[in-house]
Amino acid sequence: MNPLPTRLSGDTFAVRTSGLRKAFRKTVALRGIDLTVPEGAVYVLVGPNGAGKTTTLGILLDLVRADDGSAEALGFDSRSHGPDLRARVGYLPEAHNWENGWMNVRSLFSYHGRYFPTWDVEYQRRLEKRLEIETGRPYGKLSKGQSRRVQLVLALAHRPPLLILDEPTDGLDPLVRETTLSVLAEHMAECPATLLISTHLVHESERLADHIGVLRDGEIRAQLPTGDLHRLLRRYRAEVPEGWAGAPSLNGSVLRRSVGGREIQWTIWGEERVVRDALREAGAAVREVYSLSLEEAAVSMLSPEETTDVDH
Amino acid sequence: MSITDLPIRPSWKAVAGAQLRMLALLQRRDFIALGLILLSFLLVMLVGITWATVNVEGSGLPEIIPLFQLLVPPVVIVAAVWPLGVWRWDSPDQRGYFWSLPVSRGRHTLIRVAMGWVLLMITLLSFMAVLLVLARAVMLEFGNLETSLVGWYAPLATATLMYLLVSCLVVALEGPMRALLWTVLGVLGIWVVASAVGLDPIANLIERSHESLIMALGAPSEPTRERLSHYVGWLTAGLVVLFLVSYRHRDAR
Repeated sequence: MNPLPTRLSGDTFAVRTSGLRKAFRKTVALRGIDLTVPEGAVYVLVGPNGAGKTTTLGILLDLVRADDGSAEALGFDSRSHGPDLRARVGYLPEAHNWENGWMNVRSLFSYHGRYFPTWDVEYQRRLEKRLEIETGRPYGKLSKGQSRRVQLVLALAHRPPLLILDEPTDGLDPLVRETTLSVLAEHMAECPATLLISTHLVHESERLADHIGVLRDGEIRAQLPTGDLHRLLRRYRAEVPEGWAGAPSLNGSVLRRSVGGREIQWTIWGEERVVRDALREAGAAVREVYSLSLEEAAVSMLSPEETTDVDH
Repeated sequence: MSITDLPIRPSWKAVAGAQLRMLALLQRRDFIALGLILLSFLLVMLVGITWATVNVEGSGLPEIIPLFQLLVPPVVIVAAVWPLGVWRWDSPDQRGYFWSLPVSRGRHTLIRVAMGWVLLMITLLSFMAVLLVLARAVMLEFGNLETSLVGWYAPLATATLMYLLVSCLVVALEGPMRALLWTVLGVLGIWVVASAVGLDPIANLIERSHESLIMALGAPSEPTRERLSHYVGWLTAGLVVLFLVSYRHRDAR
């Protein structure tokens, strides 16, 4: 049983998918995804490689067609209003050098900008400067980090109300990664937008994220505000008596467990007071309670559900 | 934020302009190379005709030299390879970026094909104009070049049909070069097998189609009612197929 919430409450969503299913021949990529990104949120979609993140984003942009289910963003159905939707989205793809590699960067900006009536050349130039982009070089000959920075300008310079960034910092060196995240934060401050980031490097997005979605094996395992996550998902270290029988009232709330002698560590979803009481009533002496970082939480949520109750 | 405050889609004119500029940039080297090939081809021919007229006994210039009709064979080759250049960086297996732009796939594809055609026409017209000037300079004393409107129209119309048919293949199939090769080899193979095993209806169909295509490509140069009907038939079929293959959805990889 999965104790974590998989649906967000509210009624103003910038992105909403319902029952998305997709298979590529015999490989099932998505098994009924219900993704909801609140308007104005910074939503981090976490999952290991092959979890279905890129496919989900592809369906949102109508680059991939779902076998079943629906996807909409900013009120536009992706399938019937794909162009309207893409006009309002800044998209950074997972692939480097995705765009026309034969063009020099300046020509690529000019070409791309013609497709977006709100393209802001002044802002583009500011970003070029900030990201130290050499506009005279052929785009296809840029390094991974340089092409990623170009892609970031392509995604931001028309100031879209929705940004969809697929692994934006993957393969970047720490300095470029830091600059990229800073530019993103500055952009969000200057041009309020909804940001949907897909990543498997959660710690990098921690300072931006206010919502998290966890995707594994084509299914949403959790979807919640990061505030709830920090408040309700905790690690407990406790000593237990010999022959301890467990705490049945916490069945279904435990995500991870590790045993070391008579000491057990659990990652448990629930109000801390309730969990402490349950453990105490079952005979365990709680020694320590930790808050989890977003990455630790993500790892816990992505772990296989082999432990569902508190026992030896 | 209301929906009217949000960014809007580009107009088709903006998309066409972007595509035309991009293709002009992409094709500029091909443009020069093809131009040099065409000019060399024709200059050699014209100089040859002039030389033969002056130096070979009994030889004489034909009453009228159909300058632009001489262009038709090389133009057919140019038009056949032109779509490969147009889609060079956006073959179906690389079309993610192209499809991520805010235009419907079908319309975007058709605009790209149309702008490729516009560029082909501009290229051909430019070279025909240059050729005319050069040919007039070389042949001035003979003064019998055929440069009527029909003469101008023939290579352009033939190129249009060839470009359209190859564009259908390039848009529909993965790997344009392979697509072309396999299509030609496939049709040839089917014809050989059908002829060998006595499948006459299939062999006849291929032969008739081939004859029909040859007639259609030749129609602009020597327009007859029958040839023109073949031309219109192939042109219509090409447009229908192009429309169908442009509007289907294929998942980017």
